[in-house]
Parts: sequence; structure tokens; C-alpha cells
Amino acid sequence: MDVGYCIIKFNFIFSMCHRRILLILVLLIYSVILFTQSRQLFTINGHVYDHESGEPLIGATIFLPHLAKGTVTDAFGRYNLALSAKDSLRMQVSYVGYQKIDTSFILEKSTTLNFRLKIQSLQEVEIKSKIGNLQHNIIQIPVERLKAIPMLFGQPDLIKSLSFLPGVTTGVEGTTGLFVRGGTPDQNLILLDGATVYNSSHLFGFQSVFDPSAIKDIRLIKGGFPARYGGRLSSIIDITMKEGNNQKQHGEFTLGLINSGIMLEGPIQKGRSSYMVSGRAAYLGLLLLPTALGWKKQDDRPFNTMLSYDFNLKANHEFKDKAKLFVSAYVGRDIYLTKFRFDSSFYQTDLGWGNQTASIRYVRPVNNKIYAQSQLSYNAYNSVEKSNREYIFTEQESSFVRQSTIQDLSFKQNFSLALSPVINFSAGVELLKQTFQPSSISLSSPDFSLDSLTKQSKTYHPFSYAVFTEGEWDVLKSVKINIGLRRSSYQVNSQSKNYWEPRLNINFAHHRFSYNLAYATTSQFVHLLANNSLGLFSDLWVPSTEQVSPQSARQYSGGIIYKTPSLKWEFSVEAFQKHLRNQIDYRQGIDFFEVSNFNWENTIEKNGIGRAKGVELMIKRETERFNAWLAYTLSNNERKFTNINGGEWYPFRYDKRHNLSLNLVKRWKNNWTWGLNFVVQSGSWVTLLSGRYQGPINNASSLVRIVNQSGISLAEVRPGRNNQRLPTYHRMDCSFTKNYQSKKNNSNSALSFSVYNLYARENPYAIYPSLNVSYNSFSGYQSFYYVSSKALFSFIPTLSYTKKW
Amino acid sequence: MKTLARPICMVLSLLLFWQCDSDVTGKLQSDYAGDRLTLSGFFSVDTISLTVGKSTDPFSPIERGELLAENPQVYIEEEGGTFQFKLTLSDSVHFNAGKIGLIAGKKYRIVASAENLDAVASNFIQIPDPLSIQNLTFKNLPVSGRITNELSFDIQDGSNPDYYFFDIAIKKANLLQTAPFWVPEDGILGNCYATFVFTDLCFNGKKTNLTYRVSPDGYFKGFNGPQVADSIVIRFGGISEEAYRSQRAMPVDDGFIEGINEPPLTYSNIKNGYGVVFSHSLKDYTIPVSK
Repeated sequence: MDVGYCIIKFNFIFSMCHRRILLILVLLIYSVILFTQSRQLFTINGHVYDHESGEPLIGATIFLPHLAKGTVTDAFGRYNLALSAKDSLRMQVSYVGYQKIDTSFILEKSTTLNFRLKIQSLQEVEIKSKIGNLQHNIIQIPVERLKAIPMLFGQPDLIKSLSFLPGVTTGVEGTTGLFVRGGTPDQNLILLDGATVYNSSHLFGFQSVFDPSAIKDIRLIKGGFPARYGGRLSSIIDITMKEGNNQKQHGEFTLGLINSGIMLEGPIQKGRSSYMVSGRAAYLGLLLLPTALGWKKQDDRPFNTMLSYDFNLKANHEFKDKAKLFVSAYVGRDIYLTKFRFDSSFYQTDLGWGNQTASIRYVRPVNNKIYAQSQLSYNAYNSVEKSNREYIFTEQESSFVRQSTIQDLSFKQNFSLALSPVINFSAGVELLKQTFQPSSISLSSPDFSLDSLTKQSKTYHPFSYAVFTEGEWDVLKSVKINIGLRRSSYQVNSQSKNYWEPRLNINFAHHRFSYNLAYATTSQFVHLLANNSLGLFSDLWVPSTEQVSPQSARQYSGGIIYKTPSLKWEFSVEAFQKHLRNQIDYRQGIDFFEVSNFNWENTIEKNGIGRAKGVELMIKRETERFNAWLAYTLSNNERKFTNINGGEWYPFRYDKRHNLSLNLVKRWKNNWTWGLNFVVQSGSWVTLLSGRYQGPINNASSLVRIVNQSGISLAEVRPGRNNQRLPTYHRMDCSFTKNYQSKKNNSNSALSFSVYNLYARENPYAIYPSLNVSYNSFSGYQSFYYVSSKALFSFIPTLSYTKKW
Repeated sequence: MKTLARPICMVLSLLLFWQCDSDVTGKLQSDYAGDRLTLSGFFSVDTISLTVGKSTDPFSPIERGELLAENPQVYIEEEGGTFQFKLTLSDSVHFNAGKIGLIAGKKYRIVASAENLDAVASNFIQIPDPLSIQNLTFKNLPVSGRITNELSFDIQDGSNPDYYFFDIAIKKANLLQTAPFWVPEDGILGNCYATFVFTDLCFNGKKTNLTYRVSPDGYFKGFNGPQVADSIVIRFGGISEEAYRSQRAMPVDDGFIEGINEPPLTYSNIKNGYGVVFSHSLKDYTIPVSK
């Protein structure tokens, strides 16, 4: 117990003496190894698969009732248990929506056991999560469950679905940028098969880049981060693509309001290798086709169109030694085109931005106790803006091209080891080489004497590495501790910075309650310069530099989960507190075009701090036919910069004090599914006028221009950042889906009708003051400001059709 | 259900979303802090120009004359000295004066009071040292048949000032007009220096060359079409930090999505009130147009 007590006090000791802690941890681990080596150990490992497709199941539960011991499968559907017992063992294997396997066997030697679970027949069978396996801070919801949530344009959106969970909210109406426990969207580590995705938005943020038909699993971690994850402050969104059916060919076709897609999967070598390929395209631009037809340069009306697409590819092969090789790739892009004529010139602007990722993963059992995972991944994000102006009469042209690029090349090597019946240990190393080109401009114009100009901002080639060690220890039957330490090092130019990141997660189960305490220190070496949450092409990812310090955060959290005796209802309460350091923000009066200048480090406010705290409540009912979530978050989120708001704390723009969401999904016996969302939350903060007076209308310097520009007019007073809260946001959505099954050709299809914003609530996504001036012959001019709001998406009915074969 | 098997049933519903604008003024709680005395303007060694008024709730209708302060009194005071000068009201809001003995390099503040309002004061503001420009050259660079003049000059940046002001006007006879002018390279693709107010960020303490271009043709109308200006007037010199900071607080319209982007906070250096007071040491130079 003394050792256990020392671990509980880990954070306290760590703050006093960083280096000693690593030594203590290493000694602790080795002492446990020596202890466990004295006893004969057997391991049971293997995979849990979908019976029909052969697809590994992530997060399936393996439970040994007699030992009150269990585990869950990892991202490869793999589990590993170390046991000292030789007696008869009973093992239960379960996964949401699948029939449970309950088997007994005698453990005489280390054994590999693979399980193939069959999909649950449509009976009213509750999902019996074991109390001991309840996960705090980690939310893993089956993709099929998330797909059932009614969404904007009727398209399932896995990222936006997460906003219905406590502690998670979105920014502007309908957008995908997630704000997790007071963080910002750039502080979410979004991993697609282990490769980082920088921009997760399409269509100006209204849709995420992840094609639901290609995704097998999504996992959100809000706190108590395992040490194997790093590089972001606020959350981990770990997304795994489908591996593909290794038994037979399958396909899925979806036709929706704004996009359509197709997914194909099947075996390459039956039972051993498979592929999955999917493509999806948004054809919002087609709706604008009438404006495109017949459009000419001489027309006064402008032409605009927008397209986006995603391609996913994954293939895997299992070798005879049980090693597996995975290759996956993703390409997605947004394209926006506008043409118009103004004055005597014709203008054309092309915007394009998107991600590319590719990863190769190799997983193999070194022996019965040790698994090794190797991953090489590449990811890139770039945005391009091309503007062209053609002088109609002189036929001269000027052009402007701006680009921003990030490229990551990373290598990860992890080892996981079942040390003893009570300890699982993992360690690894990550290497990351990045290239940032925040801005590159080329200009050609007859307005200037130089024929053309090309200039690039400084290119950065930071290198970072991280070493981590992580142990999961069943201290007692009911107490599980996950303790980890991550050492991150970051080098840019001649400067190097090192961070120790201790992680601690303690779970205690008692009767039907599960208690948790968690602590995590995190660091982040990239920043996002964005003045909104839309995920636009203008968002500029920049590295930490000599002048811009890496971000860091500390988060404390604790919570209780209670499951009713029937196991149908689950109640949870979690509280968190987070401290952020080295935040950046726009300097006063800077817009994103100015940030594209080459001294971007001089155009931002640095060294800001942030603080967030909150309480999250959730009531959940999960049965085969009826799913319900009720989530409520009470939180406070603030920022402080020396040169903003007079150096005083001010509310973060998306600090939503109250956030309540309800989601219901009911499956009827006649193959009808009905879904309902209701969201009500405090409005976002905005900076609005607090007064006006007679003074220089624009700026003081205009008073001394040679030709007087401003004179004296009415000036605005806007003294404090985020001084007004928008009206309360609320909305209700619903959906009705009819499922059809054809026994003839073994296919099924679904026709869905959904309505977003059922009662047409006009929730403002933008707000701005306008001046009303009127003239009266009696009293002269009269003026006053009024505030207008723009609202999007009032009552959007959608029809979509999906066919699977 | 057979119909569903047919591709023809894969029909999109109509795009029925639209953007709604509405007035939400009444749904917001104004954080207006009450009427305050306001003070705006500038002073230099030989000029003072100030405006005094009062603030009001932005959402309340106002009529002409309602923002006047009653019986305003304005003084200028030297920091740590005994110099104090009471300014005279020129009309209902303006206080102007010529040379009253202000000295470059010294710090002054403006103090104002009015009936029924709290007195206000600016911070102490240093008048920048006078600055002379050297090696002024001026040449014509015809581009696409149009006259483009490039002017270039050197300055020696010192510890004071740290902020500069540059403006160009074109002149024909006695008529002054603004004309487009720009920084040929760095001003477009960098932020080392720019038009109007800029800092010595890239040349702090060094001798540096500044280059601007201007098109002096086509802005004066004559009987035979647009006329080319006779001369170009430039205004250059040091300006206090307050002018620069008020410039940075200008609202930026990125022209993309109105209301989404964060508006800057207004800058004020008036304690207990609102407004901006700054100082400068500007000088005008007139140069004949190079044709």
C-alpha cells in the first residue's frame, strides 16, 4: 500500500522533483517485474472479430467473472490478459449490438483465443456493461449509434455527433469545430488511423471530412489522457477506418442532400487480407448550376460554386505469424470558385484547401506477452488562394497566389506487455519531422513596376520526439490505476524545449458505482491562427518558434458513474478544471490577410493564459431498441492576454455557461427508427458597442492627414472583449428512417427523412451593429445603432437513401 | 417497396435553407457604463486641436447637439513641471490653439472637465523630436503608359520617435487632392513600413531608406480630360504611440463573413472617459511632379 500511496501522490512529488519521479517510476516498474517473474504466468490473447465480415471489433469487453477481471480490445481488436490461475476459467466476450459469448476452459498454458461475435438479433436485450469496465473520460460510441443522430442536411456526421456529449460543444451554428472542456478546435488531436488530420471540416465547417461509411470506430478522450497520446492539449479524437470485409464483397451507396458516396469492401485473400475503398463528393455546386449556365464575363451577376470530396483507402493483411500489416490513406479537399465583373475588370478567385494522410502500420506479437506496433505516417494540409484580375479593355492581367502548407512525417514504435495478472505495461517512442510554410505569395501586376514578385515566409522544420511509459495496475480487485509519463522534446531552429508530462488515472469500483480521479499535463507545439471556428482556408497553422512558446495545459478531473441494477440506465457526474498556458490570439486590428504577412509572429498576441472549469452530468439509457442521452454541462471558460481587454480576464467566445442536449433514438419492430435531438445552451460571447461619442470616426491619425479625411463624427466605444452574450441557443431536430431488408439478394436499404431545426428557431451565427440615420426637418438628423443577427438553417427537411449489399 | 429498388427513387429533397436577418437589439443587455466625458485630438509644438463631448448609449437615438458637454474646460499640463495652459473653446466642441510654448521631447497631458460629468485626463504624452529627411529623390517610372512617381528618402531612426506618419497628396494650383500611393515591395509583402502610421519595427535605431510610389495623373479634371498634378506634397514625421494604437484598433473588414470575425477593441487613453489624444512632429515637403 505504501507504494500505491506514493503513486497517488505522484503529481505532488512530480512538481517538487521532476527527474526523481522518472527514476521512481522505473524502479517501481522493475520491482513489479521482478515480483511477477517469481510466479508462473500464462497469457490469453487474441482478437475479437465480427463473425460475418471478419472486421476486428474495437472496444469489445473480455470479462472473467470469477476473477472480476477484464479488459477491452484495442484499436486492432486485440486483447491480452496475463493470468496466474490454472483452474477452470469462465470468459465472457461482449460488444454493443453483438451476441455475447460465454465460455469456460482450463488454462494450462499460454493460449491464443480468437472470438467471432454475431450481430444481435432484434430482441429487447440490454447491453450489460460491467461496472468494473466503465470508462471515465473516454467516450467510445459505436459508429452505428452515432449515425442514428439526426444531423444537418441529413448526413451522419461523426464529429458533430460528439457535441451531444457533456463537456463538448461547437462554435458557430452547424459547424464541426469542437470545443472540449474549454479548449479550442486546434487543441483536439484528430487521428485517422494514427495520422494527424489538421482540418476536419468541409463546406465552411458545416460537415466533417470523415465519411461515415468508411469509419469503424471513433473514440473521444476528454481527460486523464493515456501517456501514449500527446501533442494536443484538450482532447484526443481517435478514428479508425474500416479494415474491410475479409469474407465477401460488400458495398454501400448513399444519396443525400448535399453529397453522395460509395463504399466498397471485400477480401483480397479470404480470411487473411481485405480492402476498403470509399469516395464521397459534395455537389452543393450543382445546385448553383443555373447560375453557371450561360455565365459570361460580361455579366453583372457573379458566379460562385463550391465542391468537396473525400477518398479513403485501407488494406490489411494477416501473416502466418499473426502479424498484421495495415495500409491506409485519405485525401480530401474543398474547392471554392467565384467569378465576377466589377468596374472594367473581370475577377476570378479559386480557393482550395484539404488534407492528405497515409499510414503504414505493422503489428506483431513478439511472444505471448509482448506486442509490438510500428507506424510510419505522413500527413499534409495545404491551402491555396489564386486570384486573377483581367482588365477588359487593355487585356492586361494581374494575379495573386497565396499558399500555406504543413507536412508531417512521423514514426511511432510501441510495445505493450502483459506483465502480470494485475499489470499491463506499455512504452514507446514517437519521432515527428514537420515542415511549415505559413505563407508563400507570388504576385504579378501591371500596377507595379516589377513584373512579378515572389516571396515566402520563413520555412520552419521543427523536429520533435516523445518517449512514454505507461502502466495499468489493478491494485485491488476494485481499484485500477493507469499511470504514465511522457517526455516531449521539441526543436526548432537552434532552440530546444523539453516537457515532462505526467498522467494519472485512478478508477475505483464499488457496488454499482465507479469513481475516478485523473490528472494530465499536456503540451502542444502547433498553433492555429483563426478568427472564427469555421475551419476556413484562411486558418493558418503555425509552429512554436523562439518567439512563440509551445502551449501547455494541466487538467484535473474526477467523476462518479452509477449503473442501475438492471444495467439499462447509467448516471454520471464529472468535474474538471483546466489551466492553459502560452495561448495566442490576433493582435488588435489584425485580419487573416494581414497574418499572411511574413512576420506573422509580430502580428499576434502571445503568452496568453486560460482557465476553464465545469461540471458534466449525463444520463444514458442504452438498450437494443431505445437509446437516450441527456447531457448537461455547467462550465466557465476565460482567457487573459496582456494586451487584450486591458490585461483583465475575459470570457472565451464560446464559453457556454449552460449546455444541455437530449438525444433519443427508438427502433420499432416494424423496421422504423425515430430520432430526436434537443439542444439548449447559453449564447456565445460577442464584442459589441458599449457607447458612442463625438470623435474621429476611424482613427486618430486621420486627423493629421494632408487632406482632411474624417472630420468629427460619431465614434464607437468598444472597451471590453466579449462583453455581450448572444441570446440562448436552442434547436430541435428529428428523423424517421425506414429500413428494408431484401432476402432475395441479401441487401438492405434505408430511406431517411429528417428535419433540422424543427421549429425554425433563428439562432444567430453572426451579429453586427448597424447605424440607423434619419432626417427630420424639425429636429434634424437622428441616429442610433441597432444590432442585427444572421441566422442560418431554419427548418431544413432532408431526404436521403442508403443501400447496402 | 419495389420502387425503392429503382435508382429513380434516389431523389434529393430541395435545398430549403436560407439566411435570416433579424433585429436582436432588445434581446441584449447593454453594458453601457453611463455618460462619460470624451476628449479627442492632438497637439504638437505649434498646433493644438481637441474635441470635447460626452458619450451616450449606442442603442438610444440621439439628435444633433445632444452629445455636447456643458461648459467644458480644457487644460494642457507639463509632466513634473509648472506649465499649465487653459485652452479656449472655438465653437461648441473644438479647442484650438497655435504656439503656446510646448517643447519637443517633453511630456504633456490634457485635462478636461464639464458640468455633471467626471473630469477626465489623458496620459502624459511626449512630443516626438523633429525629424528631417535626407537624400530625397524623385523620379518617374511610367507603367502602362501612366505616370508613376517614385520618391525615396533616408531617415535616421533614433530612440524617439518609434512611430512614424507618412501621407501624400497631389496639388494643382491651390487645389489639394488625395492620390493612391503605395510601398513598392515590402509594404505589400511585408510589414516593415507602410502608409500613414507605422513603427520602426524593422529599422529600430538604424538609418533606413523609405520608398513610396504615387500616381499623380488623372485626378484633376480639366477641359481636355484629366490633368496631371503640378506638385506632390508629402507629410512625414514622428507621431506618438497613441496614434499608432488607435490605428491598430480600426475595425477590419475581411470581406468574407460579416459579424463572424472578432472586432478590435477601441483604443482610449482618456482616464474616466473615452477618446484618443496624441502628439506629433510632422512636416510638409512639396516636390514638383516628374513627368
